[in-house]
Amino acid sequence: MSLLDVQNLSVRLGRTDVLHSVSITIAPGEVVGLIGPNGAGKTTLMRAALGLAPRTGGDVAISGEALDSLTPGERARRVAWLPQEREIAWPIAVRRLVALGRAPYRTGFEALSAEDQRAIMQAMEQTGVTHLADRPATALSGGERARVLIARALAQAAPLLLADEPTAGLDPGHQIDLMQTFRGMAGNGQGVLASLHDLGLAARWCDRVVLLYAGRIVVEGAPSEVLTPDRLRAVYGIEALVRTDDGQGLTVLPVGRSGV
Amino acid sequence: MTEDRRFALLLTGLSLVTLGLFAASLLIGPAGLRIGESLNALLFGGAGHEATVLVMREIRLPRAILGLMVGASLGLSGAVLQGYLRNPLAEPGLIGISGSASLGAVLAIYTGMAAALPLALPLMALAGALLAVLVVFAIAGRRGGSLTVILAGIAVSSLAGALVSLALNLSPNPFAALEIVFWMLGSLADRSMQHVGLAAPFMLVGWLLLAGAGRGLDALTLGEDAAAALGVRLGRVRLLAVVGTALAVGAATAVAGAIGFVGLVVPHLLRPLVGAQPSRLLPASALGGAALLLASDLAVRLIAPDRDLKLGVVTALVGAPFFVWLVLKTRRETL
Repeated sequence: MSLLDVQNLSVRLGRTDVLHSVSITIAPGEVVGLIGPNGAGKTTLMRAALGLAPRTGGDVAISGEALDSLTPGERARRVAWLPQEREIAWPIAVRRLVALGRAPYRTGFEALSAEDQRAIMQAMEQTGVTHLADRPATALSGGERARVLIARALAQAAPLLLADEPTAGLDPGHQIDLMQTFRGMAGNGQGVLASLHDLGLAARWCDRVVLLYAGRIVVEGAPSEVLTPDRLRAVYGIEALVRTDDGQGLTVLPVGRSGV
Repeated sequence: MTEDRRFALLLTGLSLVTLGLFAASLLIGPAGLRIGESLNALLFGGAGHEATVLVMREIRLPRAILGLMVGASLGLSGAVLQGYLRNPLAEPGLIGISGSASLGAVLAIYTGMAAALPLALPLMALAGALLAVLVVFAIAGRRGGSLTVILAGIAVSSLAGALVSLALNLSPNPFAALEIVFWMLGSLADRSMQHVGLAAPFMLVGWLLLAGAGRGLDALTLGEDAAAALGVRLGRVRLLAVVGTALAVGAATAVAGAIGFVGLVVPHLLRPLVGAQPSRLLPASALGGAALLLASDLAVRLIAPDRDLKLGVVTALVGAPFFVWLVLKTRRETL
C-alpha cells in the first residue's frame, strides 16, 4: 500500500491552472525528489495532496484512505508537512517549538508522554539542534531556524513527510545530514517527498525524481534517467555536467545558462 | 520541570495580586467605612447599618466584580487575538468589536432609549458587538485567513467610528453629546448588580470559547499552513477567537464603556514571563487584565475622588507611555 497516492490531480488558483492531471505515488521506504523550475507547481502539488489547497479534480489517498474521509487529526498522524515559509511568530523555546510536532497525538493540555519526549529528543538530535533546546527560536540564525522547524516535522513521526525545499539555507554539511536523515527514515519504512532545487542532492540521495514543469509531470524515474543534460537544458535552460564515472554515484553540476 | 513550576508560580502570584486588588476595591471608597464594619455589612448584612450594607452590597461589590470581569475579558481576548492574528499589535478594538459595541450604546443614548429603560444601553451595545461579528465574517468569507479578518475588522471599526461621529454631529443638544462622550471614556462608577447579572453570562461563555482556542494558537506559531497540517481546524479557531471576543468584550463594553490599552498591553507585558507560549499567555493575561483594571479603578477613586475621573482615561494615560517604552525596548532588541 502506498503512503501517498495522487491520481489526476488538477488545481486552479484564481484563473490560473497550476496543475494539470498530475499523478504521483510514494511507497514506504522511498525518498522522492520533486524538481522543476520556479512556478512549476511543486508547492501547490504538495499542498493539494495535504488538502491545504483546493483541488479542482483528481483523487488523493493517504496510507490507502481517501484524503476527504480523514479528519484533520487522522491526516496529521499520517503525513507531516514542512512548509517553505519558515514562520516562527513568537520567541518560544526551541524545545517547545519542536514539541508542537506532537500536537496530533495529544488531547487537551495534558503533559508530554514519555513517547512524546523521546520523539522530540530524537528529532532534535537528528537535526543537530539539541544544544539550542532552551534558546528562543526567533533568536537563531536562518539555517538554525530551518533545522529547528525540520525537527518539528520529524517529531510528528508520521509515516510520510512532505517537505518544501527543506535544504534551502542549510550549509553543505547540514544538507547532507538532512538527506541522510531522510534515507534513515526510508530505511524505517517511512516515505519522503521533498522538493529540491539542488540537483546534485536530488541525484545522489533520492530513489526517484519527479520532474514537474508548467503544472505537468514531464518525466519521473531513477535520477540517472531523469537528470540528463538534454532535459535539464529543455526544462531549466541550463548546461550541466552529469557524471557517473567517479564511483560516487550520479553527480549533477549546473555550470551555465544554455545559449538559445 | 522548572518551566512548569515558574508558570504555576506566575499564575499564583497574579491570582494573589488580583485578589488583593479586589479586596482593596471593596474596602476603599468615598464613604470612608472601617474595614471590619465594611466586611461585616457585606457578608452578614445587619440591622441598624442599612446605609453601610447598601454601600457595600449595592455600590462597591458590583463595581469590584465588574472590574474583575471586564479586566479579565480584555486581557484574555487581547491574548487570544494576538495569538490568532500572530500580531503583537492586535487588541479587541482591532476587529471592530469595541467600536460596534460603542456604536450600539451611543445609539441607545442618542435615541433616548437609555433614559427610558436603564438596560437598553448595555443591550444595544451587546447587539452592536454581535452584529460586528456577523459583518466581519461576511466580509472575511468562509476560508479567509487572519489577514482578511484584520482588514474586515478595520472596515467595521471605521464605519462604527464614523457613525458615532455622526451621532455626535447630529446630537440634539450639548448635554446629549456630552453624555455620549463621557460614556465612551469608560467607567465603572454607579453600576449595579443588574449590570453584573447582564454581563456575566455573556462573559462566561466568551471566556470558555476563548480558552478553547488555546491549543490551536500554539500550533499557529508555525503559521497557518503548518498549523492546518498539524490537525488544527483554522476555521474553528477563528470562530472561537472572534465570537469569544465579541461576547466577552461586547459585554465588557456594554457595562463599562470603551476601555483601551488593557487588551493590548497586558499580553505584551506577560508574554516573556510565560516563555511566549500563546496558550499559557491566556490565563496569565486574564488575571493580569483583571489586576490592571482593578488597580486603574482604584486610582480613579484615590487620585481625584470628587472629579469623576474616567477609567478609560486612566488606562490610556498609563498604557500609552508604557507602549512607547515597549517600542523602544523592541527597537533595542532588533538592533
